[in-house]
Amino acid sequence: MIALPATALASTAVEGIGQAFAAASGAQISLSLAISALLFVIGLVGFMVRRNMIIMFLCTELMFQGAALAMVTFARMHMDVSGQVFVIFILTVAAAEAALALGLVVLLHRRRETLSAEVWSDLGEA
Amino acid sequence: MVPTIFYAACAAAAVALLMLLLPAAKKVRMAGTVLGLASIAWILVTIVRAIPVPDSALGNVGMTALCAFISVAAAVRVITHHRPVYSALYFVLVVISGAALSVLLSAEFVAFSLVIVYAGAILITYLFVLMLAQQSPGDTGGADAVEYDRVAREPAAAVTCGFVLLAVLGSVIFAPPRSTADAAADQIAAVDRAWSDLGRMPDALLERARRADPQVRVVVPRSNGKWIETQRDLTAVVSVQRGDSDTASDLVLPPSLLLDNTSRVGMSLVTRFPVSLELAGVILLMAMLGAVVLARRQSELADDERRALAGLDRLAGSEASPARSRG
Amino acid sequence: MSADFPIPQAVVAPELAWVGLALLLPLVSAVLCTVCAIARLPGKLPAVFTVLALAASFVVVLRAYNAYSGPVQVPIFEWMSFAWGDGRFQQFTAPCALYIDSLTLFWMLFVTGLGTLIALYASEYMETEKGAGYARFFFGISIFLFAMSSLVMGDNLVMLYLGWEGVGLASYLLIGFDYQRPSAVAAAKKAFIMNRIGDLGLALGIFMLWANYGTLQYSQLFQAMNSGGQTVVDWDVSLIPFLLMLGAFGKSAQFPLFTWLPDAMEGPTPVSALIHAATMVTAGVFLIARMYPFFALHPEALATVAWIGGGTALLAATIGMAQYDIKRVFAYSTISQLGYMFLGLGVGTTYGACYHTFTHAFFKALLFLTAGAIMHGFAGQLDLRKLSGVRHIPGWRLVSWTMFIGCLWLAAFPYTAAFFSKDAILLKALTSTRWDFVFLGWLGLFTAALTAYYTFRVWFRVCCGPVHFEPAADGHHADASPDAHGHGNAHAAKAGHAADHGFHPHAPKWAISTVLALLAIGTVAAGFPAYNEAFAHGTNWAQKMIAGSSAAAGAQAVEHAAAPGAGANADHAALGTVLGMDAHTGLLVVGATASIGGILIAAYLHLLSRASADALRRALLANWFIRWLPICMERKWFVDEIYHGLFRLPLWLGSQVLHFGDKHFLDGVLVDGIARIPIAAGKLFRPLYGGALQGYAVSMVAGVALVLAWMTWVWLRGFE
Repeated sequence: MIALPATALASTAVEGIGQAFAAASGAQISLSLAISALLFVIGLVGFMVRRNMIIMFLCTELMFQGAALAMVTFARMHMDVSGQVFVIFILTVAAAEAALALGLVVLLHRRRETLSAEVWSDLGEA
Repeated sequence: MVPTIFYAACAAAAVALLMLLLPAAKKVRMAGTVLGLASIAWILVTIVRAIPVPDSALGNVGMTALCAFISVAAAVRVITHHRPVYSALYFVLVVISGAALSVLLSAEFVAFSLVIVYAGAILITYLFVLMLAQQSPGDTGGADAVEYDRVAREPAAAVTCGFVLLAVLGSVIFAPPRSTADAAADQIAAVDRAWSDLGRMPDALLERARRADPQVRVVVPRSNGKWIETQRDLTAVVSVQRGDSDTASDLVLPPSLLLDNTSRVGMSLVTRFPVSLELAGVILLMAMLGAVVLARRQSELADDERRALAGLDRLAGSEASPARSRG
Repeated sequence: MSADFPIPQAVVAPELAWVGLALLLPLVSAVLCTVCAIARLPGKLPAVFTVLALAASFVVVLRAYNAYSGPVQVPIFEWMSFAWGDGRFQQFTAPCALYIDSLTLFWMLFVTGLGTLIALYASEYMETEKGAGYARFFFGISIFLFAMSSLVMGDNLVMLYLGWEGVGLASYLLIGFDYQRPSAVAAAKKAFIMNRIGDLGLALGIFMLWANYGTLQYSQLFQAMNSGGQTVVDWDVSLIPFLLMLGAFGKSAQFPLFTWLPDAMEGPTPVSALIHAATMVTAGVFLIARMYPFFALHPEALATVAWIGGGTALLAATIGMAQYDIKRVFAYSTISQLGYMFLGLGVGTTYGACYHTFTHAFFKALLFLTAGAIMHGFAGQLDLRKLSGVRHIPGWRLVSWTMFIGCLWLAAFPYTAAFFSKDAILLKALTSTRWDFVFLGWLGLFTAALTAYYTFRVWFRVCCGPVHFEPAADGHHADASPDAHGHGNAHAAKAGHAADHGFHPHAPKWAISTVLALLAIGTVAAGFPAYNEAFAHGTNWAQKMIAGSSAAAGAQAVEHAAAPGAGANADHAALGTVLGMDAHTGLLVVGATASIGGILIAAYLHLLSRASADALRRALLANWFIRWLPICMERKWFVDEIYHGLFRLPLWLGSQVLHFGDKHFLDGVLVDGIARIPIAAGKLFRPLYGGALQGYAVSMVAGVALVLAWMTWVWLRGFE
C-alpha cells in the first residue's frame, strides 16, 4: 500500500481506468443493497409461510440469492473481489444444501407420501 | 436520518404481500399485486431520491432499478405461486436478474457462476425432485394445486416479522454515505492489490508489458525486489529489458492494463482463501456422500438374503446352496 | 337553666365498692353456666346458679338502697385512660366505676328483682330444654343482667354503651335461642340490625358529648352543666339529644325502629317478659332520664320525644287491637306503653315516665308470664280465637286471675298503679301550656281507651266464656298476620303432646305459680307509692327517688322555663284545669271513663256477644270508606312492607347491581380479564409452537428482527 494524498485522486479522472476500479454510484449501491434485503426477506417470509418442503428449500435459495447479491454489492462498494469470492463459497454451500435437503425431502416423501412440512410435527403438542 | 418514508413503504409492501398470501378473492389479489408493485417502486424511488445521482451513472442506476423490479417481482411470485414448478421457474428468473445485477456491479464471474450453477444445476435438481414427488391430478382434488401449496401458514406473523427485519436492514442504506476520502482509499487499495496480483503472475505480467510496449523481451524484478510498483496516478511501473538489451529500464503500465474480474477472483481465491477453498471442496464431497446415503432405498431383505450377504452360506456349506439355487 | 336547679353532685365513695357485686354476680353466673354447658352437667344446675346470683345481686341492690344517702361515685378500677397531651380534650378516661343515685337504684331494684323472679319462672318453663340448651338460656339471662347492670350503674357513657351493646347481644342470642327455626333466626337478626341503627345514633351522640365536654363521666358532665357552660348552644351541641334519642328509640322500639319488637316474641316467653317487656326496652327511657339535662336544653328535642312517644303509643295500640296472637298483642301493648313513657319524658314529667316504667315492668312481666304459662300448658297455642274459658279448667285459676290483674293494670283501671303512673303523664300533657302537648294528652287518653279494649279482648277471649281449646296445629296456629310464625311449635313437639288426640293441658307447677303470685303481689304493691300520696297524703316514694336524680333537675328546669315562678315541686305546681274541673279530679274522671269504656266495649264484643265482634269486623270490611282501617290495623299499617320497599328493596337492588358489577366487571373484566391476557397471548402464539417447522422459524426471525431493530436504533441515534 502506498501513501497517496486522497485529494489527488478522482475516480473518473484517471485515464482509461476500468469500470471495476471507478467509484460506484451511491444510488446503485443502495439500490442493490435494498434488492438484496428484499430478496432475503421475501425468501424468509416464503420459508415461513409455505408448507411444501421443496418450496421452503427454494426459499432458502432465495435468501442465498439475497446474501450473494449483498456480497457482490459490498465487493463493488469497496472495489475488493473478496466479496465475490464469498459468493462462490455461498454457491458451494447452496449446492451442498440442495443436495442434502432434496435427499431428505425425497426420504420424507417416501415415508408419508406428501410434501407438506406439517405432517412432520411429532415433537409438538398440537 | 430516520427514513420514515422508507418504513411506510415497507409497511405498504408488507400489506401487499399479505394480501397476496391470504386465501382471498381474485380482486384482492389484484389489488395486492398493484399495491405491491407500487410499494416496490416507492421503495426504489425513496432510495434513489435520497442520494444524488451523477449523469454519468444514470444508465447504470436505471438498469439496476429495472433488474431490481424484475427480481423482486419474480421473488414474490416464487413464494406466492400455488404450483411448485412455476415457483422454481420464477426462481430462475430471480437468478437471471440477479446475474444481470452482478454484471452491473462489475462482477462478471459471479454473474456467470450464478446462471450456470444456480439456474443450470441447482434449479434443475429442484425440478427433478419436484417432478419425482409431483402429485397426480387426482391428489389435488380437482383444484389447481394441493391444499398445502395453496394455503399459507401464519402469513400475518411471518410477514410482520419479515418486514420489520426489512425495515431494519433498509435503515442501513440511509446511513451517511462513505466519505470521498474513504472511497479514494478503497480505490487506491484495490488498484494496488490488482497491480500486485499481476506481479505474482509472470506470464500475465509479461503479456501486459508487451501490450504496453511490443519491444519488451522480459520483465525483471526491480531494484527493491518487487516485480511491480504502483504509482501515484494509479499506473504501475515494471522493470523490463527491451530487445536484445540486458539493461533494465522502467516501463509504465496504464490502468487499462489492470487484471480482469475473473483473474482477480481466481487470484483472490487461491492466494487469500486457499483453506476456505479446500474446505468448500470437502463440503461438496460430504454433501455428495450424504445425498447418496440418504437417497438410497432401504429395501427389506429376506432372512436368507441377509445370510447370503453376510457370507454365512459358505460357512453353512451345502445346506444353504439348494435354497439359493431355488431362488 | 342554671344553678337554680342544680344536678346533685356525686361524692366519691370507694368504701361502697361492694355494690359492684351486683355487676359481678351475674357475670360469675354466666361463667358457671358456660362451665355447665361445657361439662354437660345435667339437671337444673344453671338455673340454680342464675337464680341464686340474681337474688344475691338483688340483695346487694337492696343493701345499697338502705345505705344510700346521696349520689355517689364508686371507683372500682381504672379501665381506660389515655392522654396525648395536657389539654382538656387531650385525655380520655373511662374508669370502671359505678354512679349510684336514686335513679340508678330505682332502676336496679326492678331489674334485679324481676330478673330473679323471671329466672325462677324460666327454670320450670325451660325444663324441656335440659342440657346444653338449658345452660345456654341461663347464660343469656345472666349475661343480660350483667349488661343491664352495667348500663344502669355505669359511671360513664362508655360503660353505658358497653351495657347497651351487651343487652343487645343478649337479646339477639335469646331471641334466636331456638336457632334451628328460621323465623327465630330472622327475628334475631332483625332485632340486632334495627338496634344497630339506633346504636349508631347513640355512639355518635357519645362522640359529640366528648367532643363538646371532653369527658364522658356523668359526674363531670353534670358538673359542667351546673357551672353554666351549657347555656351556650352550638348547632353540634343541639344535635346531641337527637342522636341520643335515636339510640333510645331503637332500644325502646319507638316509631321508626319499632318493628323488631313484635318479631322478638320468637324468643322464649321468659325472655319476652324480662328483656322485651320489663327491662331492656326501658333502657331508652333510662338513657333519656339520665341525660335529661341535655335534653332540657332543647325544647324541640323534648317535643320530638313527646310526638314520637304519643304517636307510637297510638299506632301500636291500633295494631294491637287487631292481632290474634296473645304475645303479639302484649308486644304491641309494650310498644304502646313505652310510647307513653316517652310522651311523659317529652312533656316534662320524668317522674311520670319513670314511675310508669316501674309499674309497667311488673304488670307486663306478669302478663307475659301468664301468656307463657298458657303457651306452656296448651302446647304452644297462643291464638286467642282457639282458646276460651281457661279459668274454668282445673288448675288454671291462678293463671287466669293473675292475668286478670295484669290486664286490669294495663288497662289503667282506676286506682291501679298504672292508672296513677299514666295519670301523671297525661296530667302533665293536658295541663301543658303548649297546645301540641295538650293534643298529645287527649291522644294518649284515646289510646288508653284502646289499650283497655284490646287488653280485655284478650282476657275475655282466653279466660272467659265456654271452655274450648285446641292445641297448636301441626303447621301453626292461624294468625291473621301475614308473617305469622308458629312460636312454640318445636316446643310443642318436644313436649310430645301436640299430636295426642286426647290432649290435656298441664297446669303450671310450683315455680311458675309462685312467680305468678309474687308478681301479682308486686304489681299491686307497685301502686303503694301513689296510694300513699293520694290517700294518706304521704310522700310518694317513686317521686322522691326521681327527684334526687339528674332527671328531675332537668325537668324542673324545663318547668321553670315554661312557667317562671314555679317552684322546685314541679309536678304539683301550677296545674291547670281539665274540662273545667280541677286537674286531678278531671283526669280521674276522663281516665276512668276511657279505661272502663274500653273494658265495657271489650266485654260486649268478646264476652257477651262474640258473634257481634265478627259481624262488626265484616261490616267494617264491607264498607268501602272505612275498610282501610281494619286492613291497616291487621297488617300493622304495612310498616314492614314500607320498610321493605324503602330500604330492603333498594338495598337488595343495589346489592344486585354491585353483584353484577363484581361478577362481570371486577371478576369478569379485571380478574378474569387479566387472566385472559396470558391465555389470549398463549392462543396467539400457540400455532407457532405446534411442532411445525415454520412456527419456530417465525419466532426465531421475530427475535432476530427485534434485536436488530434495537441495534439499529442505537446505531442510528449515534448519528443525531
